[in-house]
Amino acid sequence: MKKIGIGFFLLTGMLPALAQKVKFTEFDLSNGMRVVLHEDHTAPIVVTSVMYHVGSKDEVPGHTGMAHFFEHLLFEGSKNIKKGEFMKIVSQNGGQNNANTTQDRTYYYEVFPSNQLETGLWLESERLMHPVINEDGVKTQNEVVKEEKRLRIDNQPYGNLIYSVFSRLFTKHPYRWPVIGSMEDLDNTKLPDFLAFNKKYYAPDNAVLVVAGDIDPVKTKKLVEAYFGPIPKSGDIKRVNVTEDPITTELIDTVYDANIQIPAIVAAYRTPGMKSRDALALDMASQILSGGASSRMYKKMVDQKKNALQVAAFNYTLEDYGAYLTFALPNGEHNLDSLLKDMDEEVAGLQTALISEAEFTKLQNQAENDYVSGNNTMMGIAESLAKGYTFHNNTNYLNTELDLIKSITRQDIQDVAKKYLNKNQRVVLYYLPVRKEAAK
Amino acid sequence: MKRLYIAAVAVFFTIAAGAQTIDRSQKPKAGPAPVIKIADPAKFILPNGMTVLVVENHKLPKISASLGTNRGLILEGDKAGVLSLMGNMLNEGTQSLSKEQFDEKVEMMGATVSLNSGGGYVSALNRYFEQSLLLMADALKNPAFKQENFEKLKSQDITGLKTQEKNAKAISSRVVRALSYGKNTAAGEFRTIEKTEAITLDDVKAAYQQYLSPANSILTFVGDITPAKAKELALKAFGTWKGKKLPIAKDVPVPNPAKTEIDLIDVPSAVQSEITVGNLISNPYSNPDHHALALANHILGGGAESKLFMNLREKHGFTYGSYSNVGADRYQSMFSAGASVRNDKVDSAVAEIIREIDHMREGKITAEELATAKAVYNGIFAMRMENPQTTASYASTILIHQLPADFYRTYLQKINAVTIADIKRVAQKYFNTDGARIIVVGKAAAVKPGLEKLGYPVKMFDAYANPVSESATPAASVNQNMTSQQVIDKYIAAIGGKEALSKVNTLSCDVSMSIGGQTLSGTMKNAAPNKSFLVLSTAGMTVVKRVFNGQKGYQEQMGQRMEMGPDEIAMGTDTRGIFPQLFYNTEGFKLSAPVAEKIDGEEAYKIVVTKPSGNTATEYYSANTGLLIKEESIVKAAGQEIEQAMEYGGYTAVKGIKLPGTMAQSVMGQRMEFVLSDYKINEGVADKDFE
Repeated sequence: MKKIGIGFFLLTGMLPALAQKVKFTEFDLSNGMRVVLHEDHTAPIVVTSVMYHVGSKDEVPGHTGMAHFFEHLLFEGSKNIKKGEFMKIVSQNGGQNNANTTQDRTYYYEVFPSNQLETGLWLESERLMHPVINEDGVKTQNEVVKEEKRLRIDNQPYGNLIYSVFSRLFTKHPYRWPVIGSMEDLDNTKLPDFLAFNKKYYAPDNAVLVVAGDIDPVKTKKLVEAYFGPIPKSGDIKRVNVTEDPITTELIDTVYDANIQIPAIVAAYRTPGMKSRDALALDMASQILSGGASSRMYKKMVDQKKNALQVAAFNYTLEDYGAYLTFALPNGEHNLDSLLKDMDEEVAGLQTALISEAEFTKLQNQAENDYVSGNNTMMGIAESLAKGYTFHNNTNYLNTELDLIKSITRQDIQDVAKKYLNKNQRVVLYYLPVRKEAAK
Repeated sequence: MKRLYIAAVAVFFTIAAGAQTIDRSQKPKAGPAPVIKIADPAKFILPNGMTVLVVENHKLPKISASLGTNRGLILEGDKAGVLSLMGNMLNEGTQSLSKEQFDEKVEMMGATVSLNSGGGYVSALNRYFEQSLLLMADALKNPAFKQENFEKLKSQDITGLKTQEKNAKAISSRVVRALSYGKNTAAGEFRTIEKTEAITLDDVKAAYQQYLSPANSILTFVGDITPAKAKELALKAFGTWKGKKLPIAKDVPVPNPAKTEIDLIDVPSAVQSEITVGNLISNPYSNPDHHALALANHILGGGAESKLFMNLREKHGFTYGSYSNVGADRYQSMFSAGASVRNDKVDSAVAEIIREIDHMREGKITAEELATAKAVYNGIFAMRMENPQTTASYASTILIHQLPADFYRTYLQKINAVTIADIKRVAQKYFNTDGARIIVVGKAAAVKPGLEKLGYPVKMFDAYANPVSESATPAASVNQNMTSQQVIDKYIAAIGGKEALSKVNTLSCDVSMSIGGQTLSGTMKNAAPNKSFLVLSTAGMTVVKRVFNGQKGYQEQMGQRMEMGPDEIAMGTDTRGIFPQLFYNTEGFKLSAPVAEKIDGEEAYKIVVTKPSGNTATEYYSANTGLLIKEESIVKAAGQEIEQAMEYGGYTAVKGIKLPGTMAQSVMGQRMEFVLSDYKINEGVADKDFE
C-alpha cells in the first residue's frame, strides 16, 4: 500500500504540463514596432494594448516620477482627439480602458466589442503619433498625480514600506526611488523635460502592440500598418545598465510612518531579476512560507503562537533585480524581535532541509492553478504576451512558463534559500508608528 | 516587356494591399455588430431523466460542472426558508465524510465544490475533475443531515434574520414583493424568525425528497472535456440517482392596483427612506419587446449616465444613486425604480422618479441616450461572453425558457435595431404610472405629511406587509400642555436631579459592540465643558479613535488620521457640560414646543433643540419615564449631510445618576448597537486623555 502511495506521488510530480498553448503571430513594422496578434473568437471583444519599455528606472535623479506622470499626460488628447475626449470615446463605444506604470514598463490598454477594433488602434496610434503635450496638460496632471501620491502612498498605512526597503537594498540602481517620484521632482519636471522624454522613449521601436481577441489577423495587420506604420522610429533606445555591489553586512534601520498604529518588521534580501530561473524558485519558496492558511509561517505565527496578526513572504521580481521580503505585524504587545526570530527560523528551515514531498506536490498544484487561472481572459493573455516580448525577448514566454515552474526541484528551492536569503545579505527594517513627540 | 509589366502590376498590387487608406481626423466607424458565436452545446438525456449540456472549451486544462433543477416557483408556506436550509445542509458532510474531511479533500486538489438547494457547482483542474465531481455527487446523493449541523445552521439563519429586523433596506425588499405579489404567493412570501424556528430536520429531509430529482435537473459541463467523456462521468456520478418528474407551477398573474397608491411602512428608527416605484409586468424572454424594454430600462435607470441618476443624484443631490430594474421570467416579474433618500426629501424624490418615468412614456428620449445605451449593452454583452460560464448559463436559459436556439446569437442585432419609437411604446406598455405602487419604507412621522400632498392615497403597512390602522387619540400618559422646559425638568429629575448632575465633571464608560461575529470594545470619556474621547478596537487593532479637546480634534480610522474640519468642531463646541440639558433654554440653546409622537410604541415628547452654532437636533423624551430615548441630528462630514439617529435604553443608576446601558446608532441604512458599562463619575479621566 505504501509503495503505491509513493508511486502515485512520483507520477503526479512528473505529469507534463497540459495547459493549452496560446497561439499568436508576430511581426515588426518597418519602424521597429513589434506587433503581436492573438486570434480568439471565444468572445466578440478585442483588446488593443501597447507596452512601452520605459518605467521609473529610466528616469534620472531630480526627475523621479516622470514615467508615471507621462502616462497621465497621454490621456490628455492628441492632434485629432480633443482634451477630455479620450475616456468619453471609450465609454460611449461600449469599451473600457486604463494604463499603469511600473519600474520597468508602461502599459496602456482598451477592451472593446470587436467591431470597434479600429477605434482601439486609432486611439493607441494617436497617443503615440502626436499626443498633445502642453503646459495646460502638465499643470492639470501635476495636481492629479500629486493627489494620487497623497491618496495611494503618503496617506496609506504602510504606503512607504516598499520604497523604504528598495531605497536601502539599492544604492546605485534606479530601483532605489519610488515609481510615484517625489513631490519636489514632480514640481521640478517641466514641459521641455516631458517633450524630451516622449521623444526618447515613446517610439514604435520601444514598444509592443498586442491585439488580442475576435480579429481577422490579415485585416488587422493591414489596419495596424496603416495606423502605426507612419510613426517614425527612434533608433536610439538606451537601456539602464547598472550593477549593484553585493550586500555583505546586515543593515538594520528604523522607519516611521504617521499613518500606522501597528508597527511592522521587515527583512529584505536582494534577489536576481525575472530572467533568472532562481527568481521562480524564490517565488515557490515564498509560497511555502506564507501561501495560505497551511503555510509554514502562517501556521506557526498567526495560528499557533498568535504573536502575529499578519505575516507574509514574497518575491518582488523586477527586470534587473528583485527583492525578497519577509514581513510581519505583531498581535497585541508582542515585540518585533520575537517576530523576526520566528521568521528567520522558517527561512533557516528552508536552507537546512528539503521541503516535504507533500508540500512540493501541493505547491505544484497551486502553481498550476494560478497559471491556468491567470491566462483565461484576453486582457490577461495580452499582457502576458507583451511582457514576454518586453522582458524575455520571447513573446512565447507564457507558453513555456509552466514547464519552467515544473522544472524547479525541491533541491532548487533549498539552493536559492541558501544562496540569497542570508542574514549578511539583507536589510532589516523596524517600521514604526510616529511617536507623539516626533509628530509635533 | 510583358514580364516587366507583370512585375510592375505585382508591385502596384502589393502596395495597394498594404496601404489601407484611413482618415485619422475622426473616430473610425464601427464595423457591423459582431455576430455572437455561441456554439450550441452538446445535449443528451440520461436514463434517469437528467439533461446534460456540454460546452466544450479546450483553452484551459480546467473543467467545471453545475447542476440545477428546473422546478419553477415553489410556495413554501409556513415552512418558508426550508429550501435554503436544505441547500446549506448539503454542504455539511456526507454519510461517509464529515464536513472537515470533505473540505480537506477538496482543498488538497485546489478544487471548488459547493452545493445548493437545486444542485451544486464544481470546478477543478482536468486531472482532479472526476474526483471533485464525485465528491459533489456524494454530497448531493448521500447528505449526512446531522441534527447538530442543522441546529448550527438554523441558529445562524435566525441570527441573520434578527440583525435585519430594523433594517429598512431588508424590510423594503421583503414588503415590495409581498405587497406587489401578495404575501401568500410563491413570489411574495418571505421568511420570518417564527417560521424558521418551527422548521425541523424532518422538514429539511422532506424538502430534499420533494424538490430534487434527476428528472428535472440540468447538468452543465464547461471546459476541457468532450461530450463522450462528460456522458461517462455524468453516468458515473449521477446514473444511480432516481426520482420522478417534479411538477412546475403555472403562472397565476396578480393584477396591479387600479390606481396608483402609496404604501407606507413605518420604521421609526430609519433616517433614510427606501423608495420603490413599480408595477408587475409580463416579460418572458420570448417577449418581442424584450430587447426594447432592456434598453428603455437602461435609459431610465441602468447606470450613472441614465435619467434617474442624472436627476436625483447629479441635479438634486437627494441620494447617492437611483436606479431602475426590469425583470425577465416565465412568471410575472417587476419593473421598479427607486432610491434611498433622506427623510426630508422623500416626497420630492418620489415626484422626480415619477416625472422621469413619465418622460419615458412621453418619448422624451434623445438619440444620444439611445446610442449610449446600445453601446453599453454591446460592450457588456460582448465582455460577458469571455467567461465560458456565460455560454453555459445562456444554454440553460434557452432550455428552461424554451427559446429559439439563436436567442443569444441574435441578441445584439435586435438590441441595435431598437428605435426611439420602440422605447416610447414599451415604456407606455410596461412602465405604469397610473396603476403603480409607490412603496416607501421609512419614518412615517417624518415622511407621511409630504407624501400625502402628492395626491395619491396613502396606505399604512407594518414591516411584514400587514395593513395597519392608525390610532388617532394619544395615550393617557401624554400631557398636551407640557412646555419644553417642563419636559427637560422632568428628564433632569428622572436621572438624578439638578444638584447631583451639576457636580459631574467627568464621565467615562466601557463600550462594546458586536458586528459580524467580531466584538469591538473600547472606552468613552467626557469632561466638562465639551471634551470627548472615544476609542474602539478589536484584536489589538484600533478601529476608530475620535478625540476632541474643546477647540480641535481628530479622528483615526484604521490607522488613517484626519483632523476635524470646521463643521465637526462646531458640533463639538455645541456641547455644554456632561448633561447639556442643564443649560437648555439658556446659553444659546433654544427649544421648540413639544409635540407628542410615538417612538417604537412608546409615547414621547419631541423637542427640536437649536444649538449655539445654529445646528439643530431633535430629541425625544419618554412621556412615561421622562428619560431621553432618542435623538436625531444631521452630521456634516466631507461636504455631505448625513442624517443619524441615536436611541438610548437600559438606564441604570450609577452613584444616584441614571445613565443609559445601551445606545443604538442608525446612519446610512446601518444600525449599530453599543453596550455601555462600568461607568465612572469624576474619576479616571484626565485632560491629557483629550490630546
